[in-house]
Formats: sequence, C-alpha cells, structure tokens
Amino acid sequence: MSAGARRHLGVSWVLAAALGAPLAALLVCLALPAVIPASSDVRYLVACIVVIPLMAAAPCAALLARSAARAWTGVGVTSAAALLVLWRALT
Amino acid sequence: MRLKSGTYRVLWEAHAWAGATSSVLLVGMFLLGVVSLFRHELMPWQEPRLRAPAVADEAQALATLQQWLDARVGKDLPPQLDVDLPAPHSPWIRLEWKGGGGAQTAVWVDPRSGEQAPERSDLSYFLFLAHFLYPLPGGMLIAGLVAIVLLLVVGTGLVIQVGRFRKELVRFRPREALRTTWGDLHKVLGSVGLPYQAVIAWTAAIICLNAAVLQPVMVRTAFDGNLDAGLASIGYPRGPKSSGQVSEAPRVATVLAQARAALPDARHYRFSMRNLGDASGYVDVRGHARQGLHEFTTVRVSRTGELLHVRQAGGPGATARLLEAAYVLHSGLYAGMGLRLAYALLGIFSALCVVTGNLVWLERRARGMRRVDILLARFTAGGCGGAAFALAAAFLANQLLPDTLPRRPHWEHVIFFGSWCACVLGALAYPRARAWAQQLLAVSGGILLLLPWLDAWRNARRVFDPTGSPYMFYADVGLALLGAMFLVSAWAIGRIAPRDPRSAQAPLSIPAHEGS
Repeated sequence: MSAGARRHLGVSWVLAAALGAPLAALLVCLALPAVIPASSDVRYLVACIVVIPLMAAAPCAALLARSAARAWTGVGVTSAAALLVLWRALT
Repeated sequence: MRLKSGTYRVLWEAHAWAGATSSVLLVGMFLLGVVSLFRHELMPWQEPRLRAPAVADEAQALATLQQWLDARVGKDLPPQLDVDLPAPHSPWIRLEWKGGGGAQTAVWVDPRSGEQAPERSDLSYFLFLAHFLYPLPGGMLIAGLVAIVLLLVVGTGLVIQVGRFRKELVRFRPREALRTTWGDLHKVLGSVGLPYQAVIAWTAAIICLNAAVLQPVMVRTAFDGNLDAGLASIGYPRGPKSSGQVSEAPRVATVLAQARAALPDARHYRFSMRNLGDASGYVDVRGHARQGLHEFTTVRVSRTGELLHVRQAGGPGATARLLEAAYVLHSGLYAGMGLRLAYALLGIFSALCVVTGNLVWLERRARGMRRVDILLARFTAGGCGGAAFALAAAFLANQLLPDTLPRRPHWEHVIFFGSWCACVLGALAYPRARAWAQQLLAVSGGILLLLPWLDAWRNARRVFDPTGSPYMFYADVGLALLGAMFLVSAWAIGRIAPRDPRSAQAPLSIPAHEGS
C-alpha cells in the first residue's frame, strides 16, 4: 500500500472496521427477530441465516466508507437502533 | 473484471491484516480440526485397555450396566449419568457424571466382568473441544469471531483474485523472487481450498455464534422468554423436574428396545440418564441416522419404559435442520472415511495457506518493519509453531504421564495450553522469529514421528502392524505422516525464508492490481 493510502486508514478507521462494525452487525442480528412479523421458529432462522454474511460484510463496508467519521457514524446509528429494539424486547 | 485501485488496496489490506492477526488461532483450529476428525478412532491409542477386541455381546453389556446402576440406587447413584455403549473403537462401557463439587468423573466398565477403571485420558475429545476453543472462558464466542474473520479473508481473497482464478489455480514459480514464490503457493493453496474454507468458516461461525450468543438472546427476542418453546423448536424439550421420591433405576434393556422400536434405522450409542434414582427419571437415547445432512436422533423413554418423545434426524423445524446441517457439514459426517481423509488434507492445506499468507505479508513489509510488525511477526511465528508443538506435547504427555497420577486427563489439558502459551512467550523473547518457528516445527515433527515407536515399546506391540488392531495401525501411520509433514515444513522454512525483518528499510508498495 502506498504511503498516502496508508495515511488515510488511521487507527480510528481500522477500529471501526475491526470492532465497531462486527459488533453493530451482531446487535442487528440479535434485534432482528424482535421485529420480524413471523413465527418464533422463522424469526430464529432469520437471525441464524443473516448473522454471518452481515458480520463478514460489515468490516468491508466500514473500510469502504468515505472517511473514518462516516464509518463510525454508520456503526453508531446502526448500534443505537438495534439496542433500542433489544431494550424494548428484553424489558 | 478489474477492481478500482483504491478498492483493491482496501480489500488487500483487510485480507492481509485480518489473516495476519487471526493466523495463530486459525492454524491451531485447523490442526486441531484435523485431529478431531478422527477422535473416535484415536480412543484405543489414548486408552490402551480399549485395544483388545470386544468379547461381550450387547445383552451382556446391558446386564453389566444394569448391575452397576442397581448396586448404587439409594446410595451414591449420580442424578445425571451419561453412558456410552460399547462400539468397535471402544469395546468397554464409558460412564460419566458430575460428582460432589461439580467435578466431572469418568470411568470405563468392562462389559463382561464389570471391572471398573478410571478414565486414563480424554485426549481426542479434549482436542475436539479445543478446536472450538470451548475449554477457554468465552472460547466459543472467540471461535465464532475467528470463523467470521476467516469468511472475510476468504471473501476478500476471492474478490481480489477475481478474473485470475483459473490462472492462480495452477501457477507456481519456485525459482522466482521469494515474495512471488510464497504468493504463488498461497494462491494455489487458497484457490484449491476455497470452497472447503468457505464451508468450514460459515458452518463454524453458525455453530459457535449460535451456542455462545444467539441461543441465549433468541429465547428472549424470538420466543418471548419461553425457554421450553425454544428448546422444543430444536427438538430437545426439557424433561420433567425431580419429584423427590426415591425409585429404582430404569431398565436399560427395555429403554434400548423402546428406542429401537421408535427409530429402527438409527444407531443408538448413548444413554443420557436424568433424575436417576428418582420417580420422574428418564433416559434420552442418542443415536445416529444418516439422512443426508441430518444425523442426530433422540428417543426419550421414561424410567418405567414409556415412550415420551422422538426426535427424528434434523429435528422438528427449519432452524433445527439448519443448525444440524451446519454441524454435519463442518464435521464431514455426511459421508464415510474417504471424505474425512479429504477434509483432513484440505485442513492441512488451509493451515499452510494461512502460514504462507503470513509470509507474504511479512515479505511485503520486510523493508520497513515497524515495532508492531515485528511483534506480530514474532507472535505469529510462536503461535503457529506453538500450535504444532502443543499438539505434539499433548500426545507425548498421553504416553509419559504416570497412569496413577490424580486427575490425569486434566494434566494433559494443562500441558497442551501451557506449552502453546510458552511457545508464544518464547517467541516474544527469542531474537529471531523464523528460527523459533522452525525449531518448534522440527521438535514437534520429531516427537510425532517417534510416538508410534514409543507407544509400541511401552505396550509391547509391533509398530505399524497391519495384522493387529486397525485403529493402532492407522494411528501410527497418521501420527508419523503428521510428524513428517511438520519436519518438511521446518526444512522448507529454512530453505525459502523471508529476509530478516530488522535489516529492512522501507515497505514494498501494494500494486493497484496484482498484474501491474
């Protein structure tokens, strides 16, 4: 990688891709069954099916964002929405 | 199709960093997975008393088990007991229960005489659990995340190679520059093993994440807190609670007959007895019934012999079928020994693919190693070599630890994890990462190569004897082959090794495209 490209991918961006994005994807998968209008078994099935591609694709999406700030914004908004759904389901 | 240069660079970085940082666990899990494929066949090797062929028939074995149970009713009968029935690879009955203080106890019982002996070793089962990092706190979650990383590595590797896949499948240029040689080998191994690695990564992720995270949360979100409904959806409903009334043990012959009547095509191999000695006691009879990607059956029979529940292979719902198919695909249970041998070969290729990927990564940075790069180089050298060494050390411990040692299986576990950690710490202290990895591989190979002779000498048998027990013969061959492979790897690292990172000046750039 060139020095210029290396400078763009700072620690914050790498952290967003390596930690923030997979965590946000996992939270989405956990929250998803609470909002799907289907039977319990189907809701569980959907979570099992989407968890892996989402967690694998999320770091790529964070790396392909235009900036680290945008990557963190995406992580934050997604996680907040998922946590809100989970909070409503678990309380 | 060509990627934009910026996209290519980002995906290359993601591929390289993800692979490098998770390489230690990936190599360890692939090696442990190879051994786990043959965990049943290794039992006579780890437990010499199982080497004599079976001399008792099923009726005799069930009568012996019944005597064992009846003699303990009202005294020291454990409330939960798992019984593995005699099988070709283990002709004794294996009993396991939790004793006072929650400590696990396992014994072998001779089905003919009733003689009871403590379990000497659980090595192959422990290595199977270690493959999923299960013995470590939070290990299943870490294993699931590592599997996701592998899927990411496989996916990004596929995308950055798109358009050149057919060429990379066969191109190997051992006389070119070192970076090219390692790169070619990495791409050949990656291209050959890509479908296998994708399947293994996806199934491992679903198995581990489901057990560690999804199941506990799904009970609340998908099943509205109804644990019974959640368990029933995968075909394992909760049994009745203990009534507190002392009662006799179940009739095991009746229980097995009921299971056979319910599922005549299944091979019933285990009794999971619950509420034993209580009026509400019951037995879950576990079985195998090969039906494509669905395998596991359960028949629940009450203490008095009534049929309570039948779980067909695959379970009752779509989720159960998906989860079971993932496990069966991951373990290669859907076909015979030939498939498991292919899985083993592909597992070794995959471990090599990870190691060669690391070497490419180091070679790219060889002219400008920062402190973090040097630390990562040492960590991966110690961790990857340490995985091989820990495996060899555990097998050697199985031979050399005294049979009378209290909690002997536990010491094998300690030696496995202790030697792996020691190898990583040693690499951080040792000045040359490459030499450390090379020495670890050479010592591991030497140990594994010598193990068949050591076992033959200790147990007064002929080594590599095709006329003796087939389990021993194939264990000898397998250990010797694995040892030879480690020795060849050590030799190859010595012959085609990357430059010493400390003498480097500036990093090599990543081309916008591999061909440019």
